[in-house]
Amino acid sequence: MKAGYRLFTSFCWVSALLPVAGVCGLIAFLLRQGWDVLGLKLFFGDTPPLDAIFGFAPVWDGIWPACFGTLAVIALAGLTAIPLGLFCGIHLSEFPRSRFTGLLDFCVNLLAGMPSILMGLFGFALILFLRHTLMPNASTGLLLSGFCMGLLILPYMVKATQSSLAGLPDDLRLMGAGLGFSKSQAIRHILLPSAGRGIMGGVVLSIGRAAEDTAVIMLTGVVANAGLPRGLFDNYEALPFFIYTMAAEYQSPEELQRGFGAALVLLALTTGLFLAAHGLHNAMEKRWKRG
Amino acid sequence: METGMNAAISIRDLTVSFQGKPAVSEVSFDVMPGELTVVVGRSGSGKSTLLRAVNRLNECFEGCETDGRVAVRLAGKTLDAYAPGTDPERLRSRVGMVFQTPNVLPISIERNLLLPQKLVRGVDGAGARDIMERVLDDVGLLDEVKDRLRQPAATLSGGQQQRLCLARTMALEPEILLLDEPTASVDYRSSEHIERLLLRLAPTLPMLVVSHSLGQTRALADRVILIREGSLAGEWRRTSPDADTAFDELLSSAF
Repeated sequence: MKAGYRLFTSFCWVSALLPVAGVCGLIAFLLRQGWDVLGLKLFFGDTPPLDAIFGFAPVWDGIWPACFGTLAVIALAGLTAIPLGLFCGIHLSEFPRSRFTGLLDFCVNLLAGMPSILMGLFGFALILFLRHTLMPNASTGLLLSGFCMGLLILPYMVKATQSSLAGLPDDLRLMGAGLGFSKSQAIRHILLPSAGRGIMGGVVLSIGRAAEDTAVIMLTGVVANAGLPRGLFDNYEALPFFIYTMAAEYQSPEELQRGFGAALVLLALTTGLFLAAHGLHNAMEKRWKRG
Repeated sequence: METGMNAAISIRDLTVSFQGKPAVSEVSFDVMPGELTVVVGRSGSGKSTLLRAVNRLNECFEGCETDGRVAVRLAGKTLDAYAPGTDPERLRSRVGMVFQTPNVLPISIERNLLLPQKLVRGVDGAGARDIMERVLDDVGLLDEVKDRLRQPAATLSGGQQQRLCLARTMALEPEILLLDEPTASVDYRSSEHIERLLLRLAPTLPMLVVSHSLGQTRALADRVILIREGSLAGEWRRTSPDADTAFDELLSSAF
């Protein structure tokens, strides 16, 4: 019995240490490969940084347009998926069970299991359909990528909201109703803030997925050397696509090194977004608790 | 049998079922104004379900069906709680309820009292703060928390939390009060404080209280309703002749 427990504990410890070791190893590897290339030149090439940032001059040899494109795709995907996923999760958790909720649950699970390349193909087919019907000038671009990426991350938001709300004690629901709160007041002022940490987990997961996925954007608007997009319907660059092309088609060791540098930037960018999301959540939680 | 005309709560042929299984069957009685009515019975006899039927809180549970009539007297008018036109949220805001276990919101002490006032009654600012201080004083909590109002309510002891829950309900100035074993999870001093408050409020605020404590029932009740397996099994009134003996007989048959 004692030996069995010791084996169990050891297994738990090893399992807990492996992800930590994996992440540390990955970061150390990326730092080793890409540290030297980190600098303004990686971002802006030979273009003056301020001119590049404000779009006065094009960037031919830097990842600044790719950083901007990635941030834009994340923002558009978030704008699509976060509100939709939140309300969808509320419907699944807080509304009475019916045939429709069963169907909705099934569809969300199906969407969660859908490979991202299919989402890209869907976006591409959508543009082809629009070109032959309503919009002959429709083309792939930032908006389409954002929308398709939003669909890809929607199940993360739905499931995070649904499971966080479902995990709350029934006493909270009964208390709101007992005080005379309407259903929407109870959800807005009691249940959602109480489930905030879990929902924020879904947001973080969604941001991470939107930042890294390449299959969706490859078929919906990302191109190499597009520069900064001039509008929502324009093609754009993105960091994961840049990393992919550098890794797959590099002509010199320096190009590969720039790929590693871009990977470090992508990691820093998503970490920054996670921290911002947590900061926002903490501020909201503090405001909710103290009024 | 009472007519229920002037009753604060009038219950007639009330049956509540969950997934087709009755928890309360054919119960009828009245709670008269100025009278503190205590419901007693063994665990699982349907006391809490009976209490929740008054403010339609059973509807929060899936598979609940309610038959019969529950009428409450609000603002001088009799309101059929289960009539199609009755708004359950308004009903619940006027018929306050305190639960068996303290269920404070995971927010600050003062926000526990201010948020419901703002959302349910639209009272905000200095007016809401005045009410907050008054109800905290009523439940004997003001001196204990006045210097830590912005601290989380969860830092209070169990007894303090239950008194905060009572204060939160009182802040909404209900016209009827339902209490489901309000002293079940509090210490002796808090229990004594709550009982004194209930006795003070009883003449002006009709109350229906579920209790497991024989001593508390004897101290508080003007009237006792005994529930056994979901049905009305006996009644007692303080004003009835030979009340002490009748009380002992009723309670001995209850437990």
